[in-house]
Amino acid sequence: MITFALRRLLATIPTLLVVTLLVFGLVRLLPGDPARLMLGESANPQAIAELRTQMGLDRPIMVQYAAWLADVVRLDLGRSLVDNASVSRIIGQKLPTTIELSLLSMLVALVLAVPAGTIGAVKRGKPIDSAVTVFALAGISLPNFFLGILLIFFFSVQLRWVPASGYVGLLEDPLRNLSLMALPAITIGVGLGAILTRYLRASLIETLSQDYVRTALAKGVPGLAVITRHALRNAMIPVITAFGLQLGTLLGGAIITEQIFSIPGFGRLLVDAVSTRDLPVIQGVVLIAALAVFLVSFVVDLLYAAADPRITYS
Amino acid sequence: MIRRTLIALAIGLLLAAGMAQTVRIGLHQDPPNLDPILSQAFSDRSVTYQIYDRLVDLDENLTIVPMLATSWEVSDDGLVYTLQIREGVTFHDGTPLDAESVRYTLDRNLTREGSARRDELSSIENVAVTGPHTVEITLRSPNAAFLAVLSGNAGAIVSPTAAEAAGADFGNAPVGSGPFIFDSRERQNHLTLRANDDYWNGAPSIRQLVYRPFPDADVRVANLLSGGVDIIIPIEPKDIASVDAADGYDVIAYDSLGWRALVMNLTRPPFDDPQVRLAVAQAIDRAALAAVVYDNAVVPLIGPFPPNTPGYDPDLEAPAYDPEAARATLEAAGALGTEFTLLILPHEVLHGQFWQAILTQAGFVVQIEQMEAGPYLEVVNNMRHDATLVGWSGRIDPDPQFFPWVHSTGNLNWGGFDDPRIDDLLESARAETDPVTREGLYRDVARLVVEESMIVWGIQSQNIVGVASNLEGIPLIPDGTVRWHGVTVR
Repeated sequence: MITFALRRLLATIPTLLVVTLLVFGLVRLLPGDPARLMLGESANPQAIAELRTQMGLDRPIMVQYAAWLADVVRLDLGRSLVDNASVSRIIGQKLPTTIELSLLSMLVALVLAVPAGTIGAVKRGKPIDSAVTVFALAGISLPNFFLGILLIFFFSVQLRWVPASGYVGLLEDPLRNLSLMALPAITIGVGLGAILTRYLRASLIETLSQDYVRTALAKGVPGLAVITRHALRNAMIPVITAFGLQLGTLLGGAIITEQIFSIPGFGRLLVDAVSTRDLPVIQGVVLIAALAVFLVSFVVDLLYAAADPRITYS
Repeated sequence: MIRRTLIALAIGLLLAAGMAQTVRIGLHQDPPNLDPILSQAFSDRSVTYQIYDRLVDLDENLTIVPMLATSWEVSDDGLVYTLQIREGVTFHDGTPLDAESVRYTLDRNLTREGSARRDELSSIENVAVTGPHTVEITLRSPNAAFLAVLSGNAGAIVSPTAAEAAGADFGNAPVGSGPFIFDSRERQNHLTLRANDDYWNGAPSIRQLVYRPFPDADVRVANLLSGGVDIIIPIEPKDIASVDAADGYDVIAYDSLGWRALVMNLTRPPFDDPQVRLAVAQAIDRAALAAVVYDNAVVPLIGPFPPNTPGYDPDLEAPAYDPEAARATLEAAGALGTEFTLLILPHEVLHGQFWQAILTQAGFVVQIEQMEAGPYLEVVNNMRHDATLVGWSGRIDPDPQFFPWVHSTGNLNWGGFDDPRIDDLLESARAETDPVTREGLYRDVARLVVEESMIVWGIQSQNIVGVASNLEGIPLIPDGTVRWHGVTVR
């Protein structure tokens, strides 16, 4: 198990190197000059050239890459071109917010998906199953930005139950934090929950047709116990994979949702950095996001073993 | 029982007073940089004008009024400006503000690498301290626009002690002498200023200003209407009706210095042909533009100088709106069915579609291409576009208002102007010290550009904000930046 874990971690290093190269290269391919954007449309060419020199953007691209990589290895992600703040520090400030949003969204997704998927599978073909399928389809089809604005319209502008948007730290004021995070978490959670519902329903239907389920039922084990104790646990394995793979979706959803609800997280940081061409910040955010996806898929692999004792790593 | 009620009432009043003293402002973006030498965005000025005093300010009629400079004298040749600096002013860090601070700031504006202020102050030859509170600024050549420049970020005086200590980080720890003091900031979340109780012009009545960025216009309005913020700057035209209709909220629209116009690339077909441009000018229905796209919150404009700015010419005439004549002109030029691409920024979609519709009627085939600011600037600066819709924030003086757009060396020469007639007029206007003659020269340039339809203007922009009705005394200064010092909360 430990050797497996170590081997997996070592194997990510070359992949991460490729990621750094891609991130750096793609960001440089973006049209638009950070110095010009910073100085505004009417800036004179000389001031732009000076600012480029000051930002180090006039050096050959490979030199810039090498310098950046050398810093990254030393865990230094550089400084923002816009306000000279340390990129690691900015990301450190924003990351907890997005992690909280992601966890809450996952919670919403699970609260929706586990009962819905189970009911859909058990009552397969019944009207309630059709209702579950319709919910899942609607949840997948409804874009984040639309759902978010609908939620704001109903719950903030019409009913005035929760603030339209904004952010207060969880430790500063937990209640207000949760009331502000509720709508964004639902916005992301509904889509994610819909995807998981479909996975769980399909997987559970298959599991329920297995011999051991029939045996358990024949032995007189109550139906609910069969589902929760035997079937659901096995049915969860493909769902865990799906969950892990959805991290990308989750981060993508966070970018849009944070924008709508003015949450100062990772996604908002990325969008602002792209519009000002704050290259070090874009690079830092994408690198950390890639790292997060690696880490989660690694954890998911380890979770398999926990969920299914038949899987062992050596 | 009565006592308890009274206590409850007192607590309620205290809470209400506490709430009333904070004003929350929703902006369309997170202000990028609060250092006056690097600040460029409109959203920056919403903040920097509270933190820093400037040498002079503008009033609602665009008259230049004293701020840190209590008075000024200009030598007869227009080259030497002698400024008396206000006494007894201290920066937020306790450093006293004197003539030396002014010299330091102007020098910083002129010499720091990448300073965005250098162009605006390029006419300065020398700044000398001639007394503890007297500064003498010598210009290379007369510049009638000079004082107006000092009313903006170029005239924002920074604390030399703080600026030296912070270096490149000054934008994150700004120190000025203004009515509000920088308190704290978390990017993309909030930016908080607190009242400066020692302000030379009296402590502001508002105790705290909290700026919050809402890039999405719908979200900005939702926050205003749900009580999340007290004012949003700006409000999109499509949201005017809903805010106006809501109880307890007002829409304030007032003249700005800016305009929106179609800038055509004169260096290549189809717009190198004056007849094709004339067809465009005849096709534009400005009244419909104002009504359809801007819900009548703006006014039609035919030239570069709006009525509230110097250079305005009441006798200026543009080709009259006549869709049939437009089509006939295009046909006569043998250009019916001419295709071109209209380049726009993402927030100009509705505006772009309007132009597309009217020009299609006139016989053009118009493709709209949307681009965000980064690539957009690359394209227009390299003249790779056919035509683009431009929104210009405007300047008080006719020189910075127009020179950059139409002089062959202008920084915003996106039309590809290279016309000796225009260059000559603009250069003589720059050197002219007699204000009447000078204004006449700008009118001549404007007439030339409008007669030959080199740029087709559409509307004068307005500053439009949505506010809670309990904010009182917001000064309506055409540069669009709210000065919060005198505003009160009812």
